[in-house]
Amino acid sequence: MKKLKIAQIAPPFIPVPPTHYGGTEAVISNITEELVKRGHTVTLFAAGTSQTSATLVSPFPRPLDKTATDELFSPLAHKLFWMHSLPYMQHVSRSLHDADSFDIIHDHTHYMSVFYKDFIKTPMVSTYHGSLQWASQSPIEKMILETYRTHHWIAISRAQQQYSEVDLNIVSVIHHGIHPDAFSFSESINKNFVWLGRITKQKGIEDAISATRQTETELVISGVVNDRDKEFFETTVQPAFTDKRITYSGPADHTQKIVLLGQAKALLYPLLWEEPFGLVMVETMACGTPVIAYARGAAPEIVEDGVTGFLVNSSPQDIRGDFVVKQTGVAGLCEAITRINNLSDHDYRNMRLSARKRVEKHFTVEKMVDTYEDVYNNILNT
Amino acid sequence: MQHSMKIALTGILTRSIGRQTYGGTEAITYHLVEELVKRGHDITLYAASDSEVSSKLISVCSSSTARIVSMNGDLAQPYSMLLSRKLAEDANKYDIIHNNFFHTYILSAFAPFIKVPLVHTIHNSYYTNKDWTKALKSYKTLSHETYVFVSKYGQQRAAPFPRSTTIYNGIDEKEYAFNPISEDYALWLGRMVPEKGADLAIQAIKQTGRQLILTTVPMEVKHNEYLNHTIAPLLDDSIALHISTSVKEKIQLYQHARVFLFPITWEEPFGLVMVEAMSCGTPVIAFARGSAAEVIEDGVTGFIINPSDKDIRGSWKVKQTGIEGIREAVDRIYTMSDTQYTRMRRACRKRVEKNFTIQKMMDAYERLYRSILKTN
Repeated sequence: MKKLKIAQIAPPFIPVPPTHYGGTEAVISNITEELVKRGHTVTLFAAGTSQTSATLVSPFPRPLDKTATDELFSPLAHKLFWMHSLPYMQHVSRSLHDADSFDIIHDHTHYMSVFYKDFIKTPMVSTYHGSLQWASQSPIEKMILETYRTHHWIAISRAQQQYSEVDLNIVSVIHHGIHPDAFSFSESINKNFVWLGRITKQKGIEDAISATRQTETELVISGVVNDRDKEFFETTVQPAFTDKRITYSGPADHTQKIVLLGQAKALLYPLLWEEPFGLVMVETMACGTPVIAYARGAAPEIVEDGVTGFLVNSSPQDIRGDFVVKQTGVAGLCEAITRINNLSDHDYRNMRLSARKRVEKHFTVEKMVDTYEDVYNNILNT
Repeated sequence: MQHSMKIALTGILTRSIGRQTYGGTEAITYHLVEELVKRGHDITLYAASDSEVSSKLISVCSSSTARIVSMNGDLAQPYSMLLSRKLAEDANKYDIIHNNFFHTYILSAFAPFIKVPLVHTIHNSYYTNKDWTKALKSYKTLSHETYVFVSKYGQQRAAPFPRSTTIYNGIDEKEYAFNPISEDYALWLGRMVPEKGADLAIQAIKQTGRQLILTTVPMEVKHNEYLNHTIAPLLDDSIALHISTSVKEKIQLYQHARVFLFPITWEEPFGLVMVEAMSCGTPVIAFARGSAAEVIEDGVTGFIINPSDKDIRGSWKVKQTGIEGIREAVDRIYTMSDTQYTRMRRACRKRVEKNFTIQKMMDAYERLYRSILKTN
């Protein structure tokens, strides 16, 4: 395809790629590096400490207040978002100052950039990384999304689009992709299950603990605890550690994560919210480890039920599909754990291979960027 | 005669802007608009749809809509952003744009896409907040942006801001008419929030055995905690609490007060109430924070007090600090001879007439607009 001049606009809070937490920034990094590899001229607007082979432009030399970003991924996002909007707005508007020197602008800043799109001749496409459900439940954000309904939006899953109350002009649904080679396939089989993520109520850690206790299996918990979640961690999660089968291994860097995920029997991912994507499910499957997830958010798009893990309806009142596991909620998690434990070595190995294959086929950076290139071209040709 | 200018102004969205407004920022915006219209300029105000002004008005929402989505009294950013976008689209229709949003940066973020000169008046006191200061350090103003601070204190504190100047706020001195004699009560007036120091005023006045009238506007529920838990237990026969939104009543209270107490616990960027009181002839006792030392002439139009022994801002007539300092200043004002006290009331009025009238403020803004247009 024709080589393009592309601007990637990242939020100013976390470096691209992230040093620890930051799924969005990891994806932006993957897109940027792949576009450079394909010969495009890419400028990345991001926090000052970012690492990229593209041209890096940083209106702010250092990443801005990180706690602000953690809040961006919480139900309080719509409140706190605006409290931190001064630097965010400055970052975006200064990034777009010279927008006309690009062929296309690929924006990742929620709806911060769209406010300026009418002043720019260059077409802009925005990947919405947050929850459109939360956004459309907030009167403010709903109004903004409605104002910019016809903008070129990209959803990161069909679920994200489905749970939006605003009928946005979604030009494409593009799943996140990873480099499977960075997550080496593992055949070694430990007995333990794993739960990995930022330790917060929304991510369903309580149900994961209940299910492992009821099935008397081992669980390794890994993840950061932010100040905001300290009390939750201390009162709800920590008491479970008296059970010898449950261990906490702290936050994991990339290498530790691969070991933790790869050597586990399966990942437990009983989300309490409609997560728009869930990169950790893809990373786990890339290591060959099955995923047991509540059938919420994008989980049904990522996990192939009975093949790369199990989908579980989160409660009898919330039936999303007719899955292999018939029980719901914690009982459903228990059933899934038991099923995995009871698989023959042969069947379990097949599940691991299928998990890896599914990632190689559907969730690679190459595939993601192929689709983004198509979107850029479609927009430029209309 | 100089030709008229086409000027767009923005105003705070969470309040309607009109003659009856009570708060400082929106009152200044109202007077700016009205006076500019009177002076023959072509004015458009971008503000809440329920504003009542003689200029053209462009809106995206009413003040009540903006208040519903605001989290912190004034944080109606999304609507301010939409209104800013509208103004940025219209920008070429104007010679100059004067930003009076309480959150200045919202329009400033559109500056790269606006070709005409922008004047931002900082009504806020961002510069006293550590986090904001950090953010502002990386904040690059563009060459067509000029910043106006409402006190030299603000301008210095916010440094380095290129192309910045100080223009004091002004009031309608005819409305805040001079009263040469007073009654016996001391007055505190403001929003009932800890920053305005009503509790300190009460504590100081109780030590003097004088009467204090506290006047405030009805507060949003979330601020009632201060009123109910801090102020209410301090009330007794010597303290009267008066809740009203009437500007007329406010002026009468100023006119008849012996002294106005302003024991602020934050760095007030301007403090319009000090000027309103002085215009009516009432001396002001204030902590030496923010703009206070620029507004009050120590010993002449009132007294300036260092906030505490650990926070000495200058060498003032009253040597004691904190509540003790306020008490000493109150005693001094109540024990002055009639001649001395009358002289002080006259000096208050004169200081306002000379420095803090709408006319003075408008002359300064008009000069600023013209000088910017000349160089751009």
